[in-house]
Amino acid sequence: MTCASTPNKVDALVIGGGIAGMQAATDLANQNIRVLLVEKDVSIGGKMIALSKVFPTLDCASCITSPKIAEVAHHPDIDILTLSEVTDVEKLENGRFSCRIVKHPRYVDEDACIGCRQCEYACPTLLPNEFEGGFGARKTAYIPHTNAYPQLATIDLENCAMCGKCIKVCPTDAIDFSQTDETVEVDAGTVVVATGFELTAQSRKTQYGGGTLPNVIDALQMERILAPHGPFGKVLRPSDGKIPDSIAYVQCAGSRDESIGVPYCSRVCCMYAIKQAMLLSGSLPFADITIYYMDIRAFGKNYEQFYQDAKAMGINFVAGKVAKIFEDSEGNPVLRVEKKEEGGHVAEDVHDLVILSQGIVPAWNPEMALPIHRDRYGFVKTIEEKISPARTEVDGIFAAGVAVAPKDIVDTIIEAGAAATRAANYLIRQEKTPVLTVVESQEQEVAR
Amino acid sequence: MSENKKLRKGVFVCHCGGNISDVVDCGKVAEKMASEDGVVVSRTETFMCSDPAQNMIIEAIKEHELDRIVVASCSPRLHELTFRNAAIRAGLNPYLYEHVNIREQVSWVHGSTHEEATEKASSLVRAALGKMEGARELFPIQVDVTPHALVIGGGVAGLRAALDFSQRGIPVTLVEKTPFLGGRVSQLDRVFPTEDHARELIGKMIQQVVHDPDIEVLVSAEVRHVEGYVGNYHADILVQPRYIRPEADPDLVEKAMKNSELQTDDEFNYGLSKRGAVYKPYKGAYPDTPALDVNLFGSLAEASEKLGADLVDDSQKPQTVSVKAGAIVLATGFSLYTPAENEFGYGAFPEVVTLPQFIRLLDEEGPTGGALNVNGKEINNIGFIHCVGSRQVEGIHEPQEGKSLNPYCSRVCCTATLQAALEVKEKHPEIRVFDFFKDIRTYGRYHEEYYTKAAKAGVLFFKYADDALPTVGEDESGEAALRVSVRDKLTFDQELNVPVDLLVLAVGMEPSDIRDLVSLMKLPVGADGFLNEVHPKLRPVELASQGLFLAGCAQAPMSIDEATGAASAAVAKAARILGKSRIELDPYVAQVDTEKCRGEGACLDACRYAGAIEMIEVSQNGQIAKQARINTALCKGCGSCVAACPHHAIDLAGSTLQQLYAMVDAIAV
Amino acid sequence: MDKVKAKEFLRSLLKSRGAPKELLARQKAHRATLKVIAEALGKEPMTVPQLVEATGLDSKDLFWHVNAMRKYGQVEIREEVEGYLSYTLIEKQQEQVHE
Repeated sequence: MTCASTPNKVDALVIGGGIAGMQAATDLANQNIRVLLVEKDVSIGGKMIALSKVFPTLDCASCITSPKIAEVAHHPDIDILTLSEVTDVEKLENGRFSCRIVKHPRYVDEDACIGCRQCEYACPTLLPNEFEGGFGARKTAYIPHTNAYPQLATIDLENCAMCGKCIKVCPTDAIDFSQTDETVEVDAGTVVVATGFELTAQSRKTQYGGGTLPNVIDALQMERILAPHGPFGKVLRPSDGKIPDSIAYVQCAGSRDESIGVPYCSRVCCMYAIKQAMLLSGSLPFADITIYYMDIRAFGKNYEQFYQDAKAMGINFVAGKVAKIFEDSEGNPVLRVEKKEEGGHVAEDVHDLVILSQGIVPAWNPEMALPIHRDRYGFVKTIEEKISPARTEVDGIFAAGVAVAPKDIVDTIIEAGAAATRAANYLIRQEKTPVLTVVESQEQEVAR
Repeated sequence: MSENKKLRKGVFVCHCGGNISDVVDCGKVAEKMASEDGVVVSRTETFMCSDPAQNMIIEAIKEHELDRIVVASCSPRLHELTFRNAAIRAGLNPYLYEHVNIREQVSWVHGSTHEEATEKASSLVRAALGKMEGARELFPIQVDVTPHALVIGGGVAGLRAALDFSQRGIPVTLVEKTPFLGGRVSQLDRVFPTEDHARELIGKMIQQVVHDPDIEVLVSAEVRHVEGYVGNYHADILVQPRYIRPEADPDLVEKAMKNSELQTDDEFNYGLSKRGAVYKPYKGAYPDTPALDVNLFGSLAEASEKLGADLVDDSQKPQTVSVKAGAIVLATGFSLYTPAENEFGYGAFPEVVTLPQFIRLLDEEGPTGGALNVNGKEINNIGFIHCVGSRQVEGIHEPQEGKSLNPYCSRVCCTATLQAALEVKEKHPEIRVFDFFKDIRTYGRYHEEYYTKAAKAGVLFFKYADDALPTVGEDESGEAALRVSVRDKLTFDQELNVPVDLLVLAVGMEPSDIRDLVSLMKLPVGADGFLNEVHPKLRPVELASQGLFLAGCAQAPMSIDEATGAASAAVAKAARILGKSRIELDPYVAQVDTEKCRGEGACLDACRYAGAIEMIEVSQNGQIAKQARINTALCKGCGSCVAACPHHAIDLAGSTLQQLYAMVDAIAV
Repeated sequence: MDKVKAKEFLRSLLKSRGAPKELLARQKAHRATLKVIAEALGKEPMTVPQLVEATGLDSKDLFWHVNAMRKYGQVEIREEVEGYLSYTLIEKQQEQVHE
């Protein structure tokens, strides 16, 4: 549950409210360990809640994420702070951690807001909706999406014209411009870092247009276009709303690429491209879909079979490196490709829409707040990872999910479980038996 | 609740974001249901499982004083618990909610028939409403939990799970089938990407395990019988004796181990060397006492006679150890693909080995002390072929007798192959290394570095197509022992002949042969032969039967870190059960109507779960009469007894005959 | 917080931060675009290329605004026309209410 008053002592602090953080928090709380989950965004759910469907089962992402969100949201042993950042964590002599968290203002009273969105309807300022990859609109006062938890409005003060219309229409007088940053100190028994990823910036691949070509988009944007109730309502291309007939995926567009400092494989791109291609061929049965690749890395359980299914569905897999992407006079992206299977000749293929399978980079630098370090790629450095995954250099601080290295949802969920076990066992080693804390927290409940 | 009070029912139809509503007209279903008897609320939502929609249901229950709810959405396997919890939050008994699957059972299977699909969805919801008419409040069955875990498999995943349980304060029994702990990892040399020494890693874990007073280790042990249920499993484990006396004179032991009279292939070195009848796989293996291979003798008595009674104790007998455990972790690992006769020259040429064999050859503690040679011949060229026994394609690969093809990727072989190739290049820069692959799948953390380093070190790569496998034959030019012919996609489909002195086949993983356990414990097996989790994202390390968990390659090919990660994740889930003194089970069990029961025992004959029904003696009208009684913890709610009882004296809570009739009536309308 | 007090805080915030001139200019441009699109669609349903022709606006920007109008209930998709979707104005602007 979102907490009105932050507990000043918890068993575990989980940083990041995406799928890894939610899973770790749930696995801990289900062992009666009291958790504080801190999310920097306005709502929890991370990247996964924004996805369309997930490989290899093709379950809708929302069907898997929403119940996990609900479980976290209603768990009596989990408190959630949104719009909050962990700024300092220090290990104490007693093995516990002193944590400083900055709660940023929502400019909406969390207890009063009923999520009716009257403020959003009344707000006159249109902004690109980050949740929709910038394609859809939102207002300055907004709830990011219908499944968001918490269902509370936020006012984006940086983009606020300060007209006061929200104040006027709010039925519960929840708008509160007096809020400011608030610092809270929390004493935590253990810390789990689950701070996730961002995509490599398109601007770094100038040979692919550097983000200036409207019909060359990233895979997370495509997820939104494919999602139910996505920004366009249908699969359309962003430059002019055309129903695309010919769609291409460019693999390793920002991974396995020394030139932009991402020499590693981002691990999920092959599979999400195949998945999106399958979904596209479902919604656009007559469209040509091509995947330009170096190696197809369908390594997980049932992944190779998924890849073979995609080939059988008629999706074109073209081995070849895309050297350059530019635009023709009608705004169609043109790919210059060296095709390995056709004698290595260089072709220029025109498509309506191109999706770049950009690489994955860490979303957060933990060195800014925690006494741990990053590895050579910027992810959380781990130790004894072969036999004791999720450990960092500091005993008591654990890490899970893409914060550690790129990985898919299945592997993230499993690693989050491993981090939960490590963290729970650390608490026991510190002789802070969770059973005792439970009694304590129940007493606190009564005292409230 | 008074009997004449009219029920107030709520219907909630989910669009599943188009998964359902693209086929089923959800609005129409909700509209139709609104006019059904007793329905006071009938609504739709894009995602009924989302938090706002759950809150909407809760509000509706409270506001409209609903006493029965029906949710029509996806499979109950996904979200029955979600909505039960919502009902609980609304103050409604969770068993007064019925789940209707209109996704897997309607929209996903009737994609092209919108009207009929909508009609079917309506019928199913109507049936659920009928069923709810006879529903009664039910309460979970409380059972005690045995705070003990059983881990099957003493490889890296099993060791990790055992350690995690013990550190969590939960005592463990660890069962290993072979005479030694350590599993496949002990047969490796250095592990990617950390380059840790495999036997140091596993040795560290073994030391921790065997010195842990809360971990009971049983080697040469096999699970022979399992019964019970979550929280209270009972396993019988047959433990074979060591026969070698632990107190035997070390010189005597040493001498016996060096005795080369009776020899067999050393499985630890994948047959690259021989071992004797008294053996240890490697120095430092646990247990320290060597094992005795009785099969090499005519009998135990013969072994004792030949080796001496000072060494062999032939009075030892196999023992059955009983273990009570609240949860069981299956960490039964994998086996390796054995290439077919002459598959890429395997078996036909001595110069063709598997990657695990090659890793033994690279190992300084291996059969050749790390020296690379084939039958003493010098090696100038080594070839590696990927995907042997993995990613097999129908029509291209021939299934081996009695087996099916392995369509899956074995995940670790690409990086392991490149690691080996790179090690060859580093130790012997003069050896030429050729790599034949379909796709290089160095997916994991730091794995790609092996690929780039191997390429920089001069490993030459050849990409072959699914339908053009490399062929292997004798090298007639005499330049090398063998020649690999390949159509190379990297050089635009050129046909190339590559001479090699040694050819390494990167064989894939296959499920361990755990047929006995599968039938004993009714374990779910996937099409690929590996054990199947409930759901890869919702319950990735759990098996369908509550209290059974998966760790490591029993589930699918994994790297070491992935296997230990899965083991730790399984412990997190199991600790949820084992950390409590009591847990709750679903109350969907048989119940006896003592008025009608005549004690004839037809139910007992029909029951397939031992102990679930027992006949007891009760006093009736001053006379002793027999009557059936249900052991609710053992009853699985299958309903066989319900069908067998001639007097309708037994029924299933949550699905009574009356409720089922009501469902049929509702559909028949 | 009651509305009077809330407005006081807003006013003092406005004072300390100054009027967001750039934002107000952008808001004005958005309003103009929305108006032009609404006027055009008021006559007949149109696709994005048709709207571009009718209004002279940049097609990507126009498409974004059409979707903004869709989200906030002013416009809806009508049908497929030659590889594009046509959009139509929703007569009465209603808020979406469940039930």
